[in-house]
Amino acid sequence: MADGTSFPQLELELRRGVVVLAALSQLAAPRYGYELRQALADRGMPIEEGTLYPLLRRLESQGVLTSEWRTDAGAPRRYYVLSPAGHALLRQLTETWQTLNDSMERLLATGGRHAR
Amino acid sequence: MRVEEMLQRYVREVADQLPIKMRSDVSLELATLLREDLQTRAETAGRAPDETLATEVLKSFGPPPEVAARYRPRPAIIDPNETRNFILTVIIGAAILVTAGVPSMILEPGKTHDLGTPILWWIGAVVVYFGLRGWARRRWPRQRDWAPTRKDPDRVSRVGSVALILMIGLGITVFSEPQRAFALLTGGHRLASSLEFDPGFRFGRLPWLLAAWMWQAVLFLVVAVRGRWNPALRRIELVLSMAVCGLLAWFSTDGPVMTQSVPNATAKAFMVMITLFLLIIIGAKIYQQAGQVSDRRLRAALGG
Repeated sequence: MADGTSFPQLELELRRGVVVLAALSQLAAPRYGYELRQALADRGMPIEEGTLYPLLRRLESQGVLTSEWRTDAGAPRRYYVLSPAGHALLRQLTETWQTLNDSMERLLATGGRHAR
Repeated sequence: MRVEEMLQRYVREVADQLPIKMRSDVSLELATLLREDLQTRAETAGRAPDETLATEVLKSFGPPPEVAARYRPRPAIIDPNETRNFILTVIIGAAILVTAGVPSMILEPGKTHDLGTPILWWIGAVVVYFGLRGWARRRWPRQRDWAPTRKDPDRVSRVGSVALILMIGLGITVFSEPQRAFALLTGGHRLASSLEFDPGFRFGRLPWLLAAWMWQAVLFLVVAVRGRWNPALRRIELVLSMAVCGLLAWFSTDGPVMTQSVPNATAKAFMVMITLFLLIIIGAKIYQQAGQVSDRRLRAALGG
């Protein structure tokens, strides 16, 4: 059984694995960092600022995202959107996630029966 | 401190730790994001942005070095999986350097002995070595694949064992009859009287060491005949090494070794040094063997 000190760390590791997929899933249309963070939080996936914003830059440097500065609403903001490579990556990661999700559901269902 | 100044300092601290070409772009984006986050918090709290809210925003972003590292992750100088080897190498090397300096510390007790400098050089050299290893592994990742080495760690070189036995035999001869051995090696010269053993040492304590060496020679003979080590022989080797170590410690603390004081002090200082060297070797061997499953049990577990 996870004790009080190990659970937050294990949960963090679990969530860390899906941060990239979660971010990519919301970037089919251009969004700036704060807007993306809000969108993720509204859908039940809050991600720390210090994690999300650097992640966007790293994904951009890997060619998964493209970005541009816009001043439409007054203050300049950097907008990120999926590149063609990002769309392909999102498809691949989505398939992997769905396979994993199915496997985990089966595993947890079987484990639950054994536990009883 | 004003709120803008706090945010500005934070952004600068992050930017300072980034590559030059990233600094201006990340600074502007980070400043925009911090401002928006602060404004939202202020609206939620129903008051104007103040230092308390700014501190909350900056805390949630994290310390500047961590944020900078997330923007531009950098590899560790020492690979995390090499940390144990790195620490062991540093400790063993430092212990050897200290031990090598023991004779001069004993013989010249009033003099200042600078051990710090060579140890720092050693640590620096080990950091560079492990840093280069890590770089090479990242550069050529295929080299990380494990492959069995052809060398069997238990197999012994018979030539090496015979050479060792001959060396031990020579040591026993020289130490049991030093005058005669010296004359033989120098074409008939007599050993200086200052290099004579104290009779109490020569006839009372030295025979114990000669006996231990003799048993070591017998052990190496058995190993040479068998062609390989086994756990029992390894244990006997360890016990004999401990015996030699204990005897040298005894000699260096009990009674004179040589008849004259200066050679006696020198001999004892070197005995202390050799004792410490042996302790390092014995400690390393015990550490290496501790907790290891026997070959027989391992073969059984592998289904052999």
